[in-house]
Amino acid sequence: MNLMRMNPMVDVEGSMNEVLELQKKMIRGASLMMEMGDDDKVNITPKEVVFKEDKLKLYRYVSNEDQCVTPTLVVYALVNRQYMMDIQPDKSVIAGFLEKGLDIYMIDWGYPTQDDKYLTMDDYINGYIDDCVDHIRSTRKVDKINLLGVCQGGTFSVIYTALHPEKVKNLVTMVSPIDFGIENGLLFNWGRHLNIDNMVDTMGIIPGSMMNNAYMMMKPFQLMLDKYVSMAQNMDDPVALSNFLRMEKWIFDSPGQAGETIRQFIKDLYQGNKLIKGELEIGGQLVDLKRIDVPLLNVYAEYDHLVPPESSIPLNDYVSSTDKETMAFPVGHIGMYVSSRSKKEIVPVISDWLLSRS
Amino acid sequence: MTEKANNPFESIWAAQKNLFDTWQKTVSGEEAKEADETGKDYAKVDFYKTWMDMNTKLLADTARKFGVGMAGESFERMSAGADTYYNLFKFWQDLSGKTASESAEAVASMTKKWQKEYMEVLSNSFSAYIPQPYQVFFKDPTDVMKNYMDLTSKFYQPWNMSSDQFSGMFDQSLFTGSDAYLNFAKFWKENYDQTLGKFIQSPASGIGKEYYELQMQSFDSFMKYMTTLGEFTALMQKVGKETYIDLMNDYQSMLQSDVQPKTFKEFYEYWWKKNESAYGKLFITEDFARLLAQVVDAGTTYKRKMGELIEQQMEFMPIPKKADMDSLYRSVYEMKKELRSLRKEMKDILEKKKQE
Repeated sequence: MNLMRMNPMVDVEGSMNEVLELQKKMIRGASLMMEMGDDDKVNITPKEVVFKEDKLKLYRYVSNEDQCVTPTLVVYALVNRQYMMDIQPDKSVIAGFLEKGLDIYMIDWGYPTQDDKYLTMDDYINGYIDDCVDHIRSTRKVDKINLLGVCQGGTFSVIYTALHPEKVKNLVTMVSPIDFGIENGLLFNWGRHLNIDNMVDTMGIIPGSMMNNAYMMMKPFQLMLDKYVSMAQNMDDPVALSNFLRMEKWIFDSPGQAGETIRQFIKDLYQGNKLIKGELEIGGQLVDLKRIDVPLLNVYAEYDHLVPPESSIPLNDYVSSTDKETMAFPVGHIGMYVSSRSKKEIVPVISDWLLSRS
Repeated sequence: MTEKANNPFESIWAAQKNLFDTWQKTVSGEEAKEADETGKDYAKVDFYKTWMDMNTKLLADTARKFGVGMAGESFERMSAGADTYYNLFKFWQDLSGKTASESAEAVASMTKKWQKEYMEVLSNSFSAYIPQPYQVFFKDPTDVMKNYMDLTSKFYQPWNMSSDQFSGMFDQSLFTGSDAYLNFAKFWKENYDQTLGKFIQSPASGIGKEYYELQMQSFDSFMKYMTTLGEFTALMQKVGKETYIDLMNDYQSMLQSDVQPKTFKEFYEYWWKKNESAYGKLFITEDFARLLAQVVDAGTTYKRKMGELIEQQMEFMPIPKKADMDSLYRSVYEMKKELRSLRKEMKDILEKKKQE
């Protein structure tokens, strides 16, 4: 085919040059990749392990700032790794909280193996989270702590606060699913029909790779094609490349899910929507959201395709707290933590809210 | 002072860069104009593609072997993305060239040529992310179905009573697209359930009863998984094809109003967003959610049945079965739970004692 006989309104030569430049950038990028050593920027905010239980580790972050009297426990989701909140120094939400004077603890759930397949939501909430809360209360000699829950960790934090309101001073939820009966969430639609019993009985631990495939399938062209084509076009930029690889490592570093926990999470929440209906039972106790009367800050992302705003917003209608507000940011689900807004706008708002109530 | 290490890869990168600089001069500028005047065949672009494929594979293999952490895997994904980008470029070349200046017959011929190749571009974009054993099932379900038909006609001739109806539908599915294939897949499944499926699922007797039944169950679960997966991939392909036709029509309209993408990059943005939107509309439907759940369920059942069959085959070996391990895990779990409860009790008792 003769390139010169193409539509005269189309910039053929320019387009061919673009394609060839892409290849040259990939060559330079491959060379850069070969020179990359271990990533020394991820998860580097100083911290120490203050408590361990089974595969769980509780970290306390070290700070030089004067710290708030009331410690804050960050409860991350089970489906991803918590170090996303400390992905690199210039975007670290954790470092931002520390700079503002918060005293931060964070749970590292570890990587479940087959011997964890029988762990239930009760074990995670009334077991692990409660043990961490009690450890912080006794070592810091406080009656109550702040809870900050992220995504599924927010759902767990809400349930925990409803079951143990006497131990929680303030509650912050970030991009947390509460109402699972929404119509416009892909994960919610897909989860509604899943035969989770068959999956858990067969696999025991649901592989992290399976969860990842589901997330990628939600936006197949953007997440499986354009993301890499766009990156290839910046591949000769060492900073852009290392930032990209850091995020890639986190995205695909998904732990498996303990079978009994995900069984109940899917059946009772995604399929039964029992939390807001007041029918959810954890450890034999009914979870009554009205028992939450602590100050509540409910943060959600306006462009969240994983947990649409409609799922997070209703929480405030079901609690009996008088001091409660919702706060929206024009970011996506992950952008809440790794975008340019996260450290500049989101961290100060949450920190100021907590500090003024601690 | 240490000597600089003799790094052979630096020469490779330099040679690669020189190669691309040479190609760049060849396909544009003075050399291109000269070639046009002499009427030379510009198959050099296709030759470039072959050369690029070889180099991309070399780079991906090297990055995989020597890359640190995610580097190798990410480079492979980027290479796959670049490959799709290039294939889409070829499509855009044809689209921009033929639709602007050629006759309606030439446009129709181009459309037909790309209908199959376009679907290969689409499925190749994502097949790298599917686990290796399943990749073949996403390339072209009609090829897979043909293999099943060969298998069934060889071994299950008495069952093939409706073969006339079958072969007619099968032929139709090959030539008229995914709706016909979906109907074929559904009809095949119904036929299977009512005939061979009943035979497969019937109870056995005799000394090898258990093992025979396991074999039949695993085969049955395999057939169900394949038909469900076939239905799923046909649906995905159907949307891809419909979007392709939509894109062609859209592009024609844009050309007439001179608002078509002016560069390949603009076209690429337009192309992937159009496809994303089309698949997004499919994914949100209740029917798709049910079908996806059926595929996952069928695959899970197949995995479970195969696992049970393998366990039965390995029974004589000193390897614990899944049931043995599950029993152990359950015991450990119960013990840990009791230990935690006792610890809490002790802590409460000690605290009460302190306060007294």
